[in-house]
Amino acid sequence: MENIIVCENITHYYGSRLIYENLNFEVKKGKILGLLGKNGTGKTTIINILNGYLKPRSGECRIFREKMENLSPGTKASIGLLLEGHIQHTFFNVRQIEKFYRQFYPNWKAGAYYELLRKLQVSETQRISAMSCGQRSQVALGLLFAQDPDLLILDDFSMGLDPGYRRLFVQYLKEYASNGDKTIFLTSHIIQDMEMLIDDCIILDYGRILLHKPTDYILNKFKRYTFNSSATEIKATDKLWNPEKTGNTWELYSFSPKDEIQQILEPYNIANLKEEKLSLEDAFIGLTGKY
Amino acid sequence: MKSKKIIYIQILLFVTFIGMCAIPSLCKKITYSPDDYPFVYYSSILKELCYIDFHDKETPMRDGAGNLYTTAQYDSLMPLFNFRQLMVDGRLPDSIDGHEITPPILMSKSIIYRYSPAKFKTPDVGLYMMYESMPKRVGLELPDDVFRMKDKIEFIDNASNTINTQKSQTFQQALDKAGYSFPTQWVSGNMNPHKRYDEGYFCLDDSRQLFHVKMVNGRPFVRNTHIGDSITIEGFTVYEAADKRFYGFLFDKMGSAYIIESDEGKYKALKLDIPPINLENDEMMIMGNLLYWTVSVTSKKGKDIYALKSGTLECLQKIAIERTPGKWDNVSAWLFPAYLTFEHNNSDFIYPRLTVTGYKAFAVNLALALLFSLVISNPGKKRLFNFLFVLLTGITGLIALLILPDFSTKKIKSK
Amino acid sequence: MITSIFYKEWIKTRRILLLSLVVFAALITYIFINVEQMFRINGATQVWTETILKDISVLTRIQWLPLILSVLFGVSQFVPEMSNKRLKLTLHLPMPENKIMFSMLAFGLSGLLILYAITYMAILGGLNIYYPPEIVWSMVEASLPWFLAGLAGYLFVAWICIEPVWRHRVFNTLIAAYALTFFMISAKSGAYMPFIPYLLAIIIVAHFFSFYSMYRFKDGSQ
Repeated sequence: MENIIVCENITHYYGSRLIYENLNFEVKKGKILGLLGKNGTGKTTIINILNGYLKPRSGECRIFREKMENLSPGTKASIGLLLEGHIQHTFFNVRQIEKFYRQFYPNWKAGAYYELLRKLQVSETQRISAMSCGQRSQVALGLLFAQDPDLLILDDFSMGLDPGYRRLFVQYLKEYASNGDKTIFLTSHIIQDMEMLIDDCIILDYGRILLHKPTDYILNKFKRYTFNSSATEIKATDKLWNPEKTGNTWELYSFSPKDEIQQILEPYNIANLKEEKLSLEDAFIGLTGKY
Repeated sequence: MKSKKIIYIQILLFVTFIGMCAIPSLCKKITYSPDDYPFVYYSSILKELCYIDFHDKETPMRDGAGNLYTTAQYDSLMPLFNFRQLMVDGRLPDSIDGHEITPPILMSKSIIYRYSPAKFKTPDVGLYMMYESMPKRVGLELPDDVFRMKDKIEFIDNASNTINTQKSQTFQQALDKAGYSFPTQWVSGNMNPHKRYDEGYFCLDDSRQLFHVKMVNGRPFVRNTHIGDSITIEGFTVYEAADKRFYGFLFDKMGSAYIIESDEGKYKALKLDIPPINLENDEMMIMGNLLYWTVSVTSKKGKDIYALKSGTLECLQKIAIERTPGKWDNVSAWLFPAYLTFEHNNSDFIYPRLTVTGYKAFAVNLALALLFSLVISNPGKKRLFNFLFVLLTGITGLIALLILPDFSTKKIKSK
Repeated sequence: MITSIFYKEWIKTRRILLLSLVVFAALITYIFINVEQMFRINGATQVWTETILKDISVLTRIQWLPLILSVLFGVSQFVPEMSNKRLKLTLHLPMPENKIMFSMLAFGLSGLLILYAITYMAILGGLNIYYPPEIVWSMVEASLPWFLAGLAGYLFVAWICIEPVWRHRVFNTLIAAYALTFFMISAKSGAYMPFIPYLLAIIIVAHFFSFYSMYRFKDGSQ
């Protein structure tokens, strides 16, 4: 399948602080990819690099085969961009902002915008600066749907939203993605609602990609194991993630099946090995650690 | 990006250009003091030019041989300059060299005139006031109209802001009759209503003839002075001298100075017996009395002082004082190969002028450029550019490079 | 699409534009009330004589106004773009970035030019009643640099606002403030005329500066 986003060997520093080294990933057409990571791992930085708002120290990104710093107007028209915090031009009111954007996009669907806003109980002359965070997010979302882009790039859409609005946002996104060949690239630091939305997961750690796998794969294969052992130290390996001891009980995570874990842990004299299925949020913690 | 680089160069040049006037003007404020020349005046008793130092309360005067004189001696050795003091002291002589001396005579013969290049380089609104030259009452009365005479003469009535056709026609006819050809090159006159009397205007017409235009008893008075026949006229300043001996000071193209005397209804140019001055840069000061004129000409090189006989304006004595370079001259020569100014001593107009100080500053520039490109490690091409730029522009270019963003980001990247 | 950009700029700046129009109108009215009073009390002869001899312009009260209002105007146009880096939204519009920037500046400059044109028409109309053309022209000549300062000030504000790094904003402000003093040198009426082409050149060059800030914004300079 066609790659919509390709990032190759991205290395970036802020001053002398390394953000990533040789970051590589791609997003295939029709997929919803979630870029997950703790605060400060550089999620927004990736979004900025992708859209050409930050020149990395080295490396290159391409969207629709165009280099990020020189996206053509046509390509920009087919990218919907949601900035962190649902930033929009707050000096407009609901009707003005629609009027403003309408002229830029050939497939503008004003109906989609007004339909979403009807649910919000805001008048068309209300200024965006006078809206709540949730209302603003719906304006931003409405504009994205009216634009009807082929690629949606959403930077931390869940930020500042109460659960209702978050759920609403996710529902709309799902519906949008199911309609056709739409690709979505999003970042979030709240994982709860991601499970039912994203097809693929990139989990960022400081300076690198920890994992890039389909969400199903993580949910099915990644397990939490608990057991009793008197061992004082169990080293983390690529098969044993984040081992941690509480009293006499050990806890660790792994993609390996129970038999294999049993075998690996043989030397530690373990007892009561239990396997648990995980939610995406638990898996995220298992992968990145609590701290 | 290519256009980013081009605009960077633009901003760099702009900031350097701004620096070329900001930094030198700041340095000038700190280091500049005006040239200090002694005051020189011709003594009608010693018959020589003498130096006067007004700060010296004991012996303010010194003659050419270096003899010092007390204040009392100074007063009596320069009676024509100090006649007010001598009068109060009761020491004013009755005559000098057979010329009668009374305060009214001295006052009527006293002349003070200062030429500076800005006198001719100043914007002119193009409207003038025609006084009645023979007023029925004492003192001049403000006319209730003004006139323009660029392409024709027109009087505009103040109260109605409309043209007084009849008066305009009368004057236009008088000008035509006298052979005046428009457009007028310039008009010189003294519009101060507090002057002693009025001699109207001297106008240079299109054929570079100088015309005397005034209003006498409400009628136009227009005469071709015919001075343009023999002299290529550059500028003229009307000077209504108290003794009505002359109309004003005239300069020809070469910079020679003249006065225009009235000679039984005719006009006669009498040349001051001094070398031509540089009208663009030199300043001239004339202090005249009954017997002698002291004329000083200040140029970039120094100050020349001439003593002229007041009747014939022939030169009796000349001394020259050389200029000693001040702190600012030295500082600017070493720090700035060139600097920009917008306001000038020799013009009222505002425009950029580049002053080139010479080669010395390039030594400092070279040192700066070397130091700069050794200390700050930039990639090759950039380093060469920085080196050449600082070599050419010196401190101002260096500061521009340092405060502009592109430079400092490059620095981090090269770490 | 340019009309849409203009629409956005208009929504941002319409209050300041209206305010500017009101302030100019109020000041011009005040100036002419003064002129009327001067002519009534002192008489035309006295007023004209003083104007010619002492080079007095009734427009000196306007001196700082074009600059102050254009700075406010520029701030009202570009600060909303920079708070929360909203310029990203603007630059994401499907239009070449240079064209977007150019449209924004074109809106500002044409807004100011229209405002100044209206102001000058009112001034010229009024002054022509009281003064002969030479005096009117000399007053206009003396006021030209102030209005050019308005245009330059606006472009400098754009340059400063869009610059992403605070330290450089401070440098840019100092540079701009010094450059603006070139427009405010006190001089005889008409003495500025040889300098006007250079001031225009500064305005043309300054017009490009904001593009440099925009490129830096795009590079993500911090």
